Amino acid sequence: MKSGRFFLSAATVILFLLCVLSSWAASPVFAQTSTVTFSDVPASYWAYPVIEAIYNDGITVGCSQSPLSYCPSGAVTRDQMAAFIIRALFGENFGYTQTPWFSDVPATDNFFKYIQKLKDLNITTTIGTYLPSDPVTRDEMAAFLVRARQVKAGQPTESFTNTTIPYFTDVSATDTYFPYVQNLKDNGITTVTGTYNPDENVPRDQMAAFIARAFLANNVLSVTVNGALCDSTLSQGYTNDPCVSVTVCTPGTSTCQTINSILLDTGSFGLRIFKQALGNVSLTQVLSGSGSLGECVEFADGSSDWGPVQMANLILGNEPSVHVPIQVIDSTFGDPTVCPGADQSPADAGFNGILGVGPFVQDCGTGCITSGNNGANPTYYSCTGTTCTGSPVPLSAQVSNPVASLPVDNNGLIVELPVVQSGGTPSLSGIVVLGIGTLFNNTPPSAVTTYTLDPTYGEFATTFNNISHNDSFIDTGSNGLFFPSGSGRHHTSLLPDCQDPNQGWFCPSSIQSLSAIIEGASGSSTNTVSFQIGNFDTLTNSSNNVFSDIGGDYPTFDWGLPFYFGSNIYIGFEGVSSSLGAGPYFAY
Amino acid sequence: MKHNAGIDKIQEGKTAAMKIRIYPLILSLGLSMVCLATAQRVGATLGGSADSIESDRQALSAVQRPVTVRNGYTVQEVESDATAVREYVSPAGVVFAIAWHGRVHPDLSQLLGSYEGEYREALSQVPRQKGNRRSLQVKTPRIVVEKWGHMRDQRGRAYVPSLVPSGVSVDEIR
Repeated sequence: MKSGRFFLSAATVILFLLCVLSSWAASPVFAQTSTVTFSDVPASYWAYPVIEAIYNDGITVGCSQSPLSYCPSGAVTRDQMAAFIIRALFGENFGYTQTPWFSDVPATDNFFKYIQKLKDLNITTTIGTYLPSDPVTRDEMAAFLVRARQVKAGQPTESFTNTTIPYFTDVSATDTYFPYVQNLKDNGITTVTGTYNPDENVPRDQMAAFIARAFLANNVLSVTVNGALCDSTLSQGYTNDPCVSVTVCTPGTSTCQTINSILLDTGSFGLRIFKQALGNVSLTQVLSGSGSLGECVEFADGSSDWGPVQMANLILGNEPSVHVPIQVIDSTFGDPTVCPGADQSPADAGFNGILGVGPFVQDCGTGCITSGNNGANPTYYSCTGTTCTGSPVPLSAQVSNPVASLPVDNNGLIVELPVVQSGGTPSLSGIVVLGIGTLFNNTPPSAVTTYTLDPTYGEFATTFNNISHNDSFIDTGSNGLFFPSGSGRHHTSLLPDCQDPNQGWFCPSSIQSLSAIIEGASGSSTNTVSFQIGNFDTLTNSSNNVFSDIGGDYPTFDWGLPFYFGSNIYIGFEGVSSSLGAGPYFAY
Repeated sequence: MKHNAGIDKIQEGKTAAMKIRIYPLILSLGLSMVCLATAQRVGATLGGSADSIESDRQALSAVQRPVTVRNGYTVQEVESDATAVREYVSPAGVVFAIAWHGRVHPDLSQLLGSYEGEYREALSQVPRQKGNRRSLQVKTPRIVVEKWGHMRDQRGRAYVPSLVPSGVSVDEIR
C-alpha cells in the first residue's frame, strides 16, 4: 500500500536528519546507562538514550545477534511496528484472537500475536490484508501511536483531543492524519518544528524515540495555555493562563479526582486546591500541637489563599503517587478573619488550584520553623474551632513542591512551550518534563546555560535601561513581562499605560523591540534577552488569548509566561543538583 | 472589621515576643508599655515625624538598623523576623515614604498611619484581574501604595507624592 510514499527527495531526508540531530546531537551521554548494548549504536549516537531505554524495557531485542545489532537506519516494517507497540503496552504476555484477522498474516507468522492484538485493540483499522512487510510512514505512525496511547489510558482509540491550529506546514487541518500528528506534538512525542515530513518512512532509530517518548516517559505533564486543560468558564478573560491537570487521591484508597484548570506556577511552591474542586476526595488533616494546621498565603495583588494543610496522595503525569502536604483553599476554615482578601471560590481566582513548582521545596522554609512565624502576620496557624494563632511548623509539615517528593525525577523540571507568533494565538500546548538528567527525555544539551538563583529568595539580576534589578524572577504564573518602563509609574512615552480597564498594561502605539540582560545570582553567566511589547488593548481585542508581547509596569523585572515561549526552561531545585549544577537555578 | 483583626494580631505577636525577652518581675511593666505604644500609633509613620518610627519598630517586634544618609534624605530601617521595613525621612524630618520586603507584607494599618482609611477605601475599589497575582497599585488622593514580588519575597512601598523631596525619584524607594 501507498507505494508512492517510497519516493523521497534526498534534500528532505537531509533536512529532516539535521532537524532531528539538532535536538539530540549535543546531548551528553545518558547518565543512567553507560553500557553500550548494540554494536551499531555507540553512546555518541543521537538515539542512544532512547534505544537503550526501549531495550532495557524489553521492547526491542535488536535486528541480529553476534554482534548484537539494532540496525538504527533500517526502515521499520509494519510487522515490526506491531511488535514495538504491543510490547510497549503489554510486554510478551497477553491474550489475543486466535483466528487470523488478515489473509497475509497467518498464525505461523513470527509477528502473528502482535498483529492480532493490534487489530483486537483497533490500533490498526485495516481490513483484509495487513501488508506486514511494508514500511511505516511518519503520518501512519502518528495514528498508531496515538491510538495505542489511548489504549494505555483506558480510553476509546479515537476519543483524544488535539490542538486545532496546525503545528506543521506540511500537515494541514484537512489531512487525514492531522488530529494524530497534532496530538503527537501536543504530548511531546515528536519534537520537530516547522515540517513533519509525513510521507517519509520511519527508521528504527526514530521508532525508538517515538516509542520511548510515547510509552516510557512517565515524567511528562501536558500543559495548555488557555486550551483543553483550562476550564473555559474559569479562564474566560484570563490572558496567558497555563493550565495543567493533577490527580488527587484520599491517602491509602483508590478514591481519586483528576482536576483540570490548575495554574502551573514556577513562582510558588506546593499545591493549593479549592475545596470545591476536590469532590468526594477526603484528605488527612495535619496537626499543629492540639490544633489543625492552617495557612494564609498572600499574593501581591492583595488576594490570598486561606485554608487547612492536609496530606494528599498526588499523581503527576504517570509518575508514582507522592504523599505530600497540600493546602485546601477553604475560606470558611477556622477563623478566616486572620487572612484578609481570601479567595472564596475557583470563580474568584480563575483556577481550581495552583501547582507551585518553583525552585524551593517548601512554601515558607526555615522562616516558619521557629517562633519567628508567631510575630505579626503569621503564615501558618494552629486552629482549634474558630480560634487560630500563629504557630511554628517543621519543614516536613509545610506545604511542599510535590515534584521534589518524586522517587527519581525529583531534582527539577523543564517547561517546554512552543513559539507564539506576533499577534497571538487562541491557545497553546506544551509539556512539563519532570527531573533533569534522570531519564532519556530530560538530559540537557551542552548549549544550555545555568543561571544561579539566590538561595533565600530564588532571585537573580536583570539589567534593563542600564538599571540592575537584583530581585528579578522567572514565573509562569505571571501572565506578561513586567518591568520598570521609566521612572516609577511615570511612564516614558514609548510604553504608555493602557486606559481603564487595562491600566497597568502597556499600550504603545507601535510594537517596541527591547532587550534586557539576565545575570545569575552568583557566577558570571549573562545573557541578553530580546523581547517585544505590543499594544495590550489591540492584541486582546481579538479572538486570541495567548500573547508573547504583552507587558506592564512593575518595580523589578518579572519574566512571566512569555519568557517561556519558544525555549526549554530548566528549573533546578534547592538542595539537589544535576549536570547543570547545584540548585536553586534556572537554565536555558 | 478586617482592619481590627489586624491590630489584634500585632498585639498578640508583640506580647509573645516580649515574654521571651523580659524578666518576669517586670512583665507587668512591659505589658503596660505595649498598651502605651498601641495608643501612640495614631498619627504615626507615613506623613508623620521621624519619631514615629520608634512606634513602628515596637509594633513590628523589630530591631533598629543604622540610619543611612542618602542624597537629600535619610533612611531608617527596622527589621523583624518576617519583614524589613525602610522609612524615608525628608530633611524636614517627615516620613515621606516607606518600603518593605520579607516573607509576608507588614500590617499596613500601622505603617500608613492617618492615610490608612483612604487606602482601605481605594483598595476596595480595585477590580480583581485574573492572572495578576504579583502586583497591586492603589492610588488615593494623597498616597500611592504598591505591592509586588512572589512567595518568600513580598515587597512593597507607600509614598506621599506631595512630600517627596524634589530631585528624589520614586525608583529609589525600595
